[in-house]
Amino acid sequence: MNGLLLKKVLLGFSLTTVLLLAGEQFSMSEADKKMYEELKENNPADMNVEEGAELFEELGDEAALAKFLEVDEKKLANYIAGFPRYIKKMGNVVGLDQVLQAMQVEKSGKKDALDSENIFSMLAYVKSLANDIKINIDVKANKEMESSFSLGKKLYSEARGYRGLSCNSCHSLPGTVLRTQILPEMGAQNTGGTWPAYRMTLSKMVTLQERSRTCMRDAGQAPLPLGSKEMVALEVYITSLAKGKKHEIEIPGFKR
Amino acid sequence: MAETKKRRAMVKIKPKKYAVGDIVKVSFMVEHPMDTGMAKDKETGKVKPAHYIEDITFSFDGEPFTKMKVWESISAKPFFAVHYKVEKKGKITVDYKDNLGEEGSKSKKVKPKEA
Repeated sequence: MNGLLLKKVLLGFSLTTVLLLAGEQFSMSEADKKMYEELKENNPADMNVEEGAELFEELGDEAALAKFLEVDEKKLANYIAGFPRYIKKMGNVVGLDQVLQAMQVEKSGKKDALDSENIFSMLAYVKSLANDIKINIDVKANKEMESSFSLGKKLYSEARGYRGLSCNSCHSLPGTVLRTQILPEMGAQNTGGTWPAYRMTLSKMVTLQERSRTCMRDAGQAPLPLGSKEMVALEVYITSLAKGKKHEIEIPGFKR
Repeated sequence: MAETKKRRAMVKIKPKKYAVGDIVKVSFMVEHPMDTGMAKDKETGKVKPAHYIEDITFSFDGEPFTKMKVWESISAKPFFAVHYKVEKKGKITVDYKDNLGEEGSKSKKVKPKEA
């Protein structure tokens, strides 16, 4: 009898140890992480950037963008590093993708959808012009930016959907683990400066807004439409978190 | 006649800044499915016919400097890189041809830094 009891106790003990150790295991080992770093060298999203460059050339290149945004062409890269911005001409706080769409309309009267690959590619190329520059978004530039920032901050911590989750439920403390994945720290890991990125789980390149939509869908929330006031506000907030950190813009990114 | 589809591709030169005489890495990637002819289509259940790149040529101003013969064992979105010694300004072009006769090319300007 005693032997059986001992066995039970031992089994229980070993099970707890296994469970405790299992908690330490993530889907990515140290070796995997090294492989990721190597893979960054041949990021497939570079193909999208190249395609974006061709499409952007048809649209009139940097000169046309600088003219549209009414900035000096030499300061364009710095200006891009501060998006989303309030553009007076468009009467709203907008992301770069919406600016590109507006340029398309101005040029030919036609436009690509915000979720089309053309816009994604062009956005990646235009944002890559600001590579090696730090994010310089100014959330106190004017009252529109201020209200967009506060709306974004509110949305970030507001519980929505049938699961009652907000962004902040998971993305608050550094090192939170969700389904064996360590969640990114929005500020320290330069989220604003590494999207659009190639996603290995989808085998394609997506933008920050599209990525947020996938996250919302998984969390049981109704995804916010691309380019909506709320979605841009969320982008403003997330981008602003990466401001003042040591990282520079690095487009295209490379993600899980 | 094979369908001619415009595929995304890229040619990249690393490091970004180089001078005449430097050895750089020229890499090429193309969005090609590289079907082996052994996998089934998930939706239709039929075997997908083989469709893969056979020849790759790296050339500088029309003069080939590397030719490659490749086959179906290479992954989708294949990536190739060669080392190249920069001699002058010009254009590097990479041409590819697959087993169905489809052809494509992509080029990149070579702009060495003025000494």
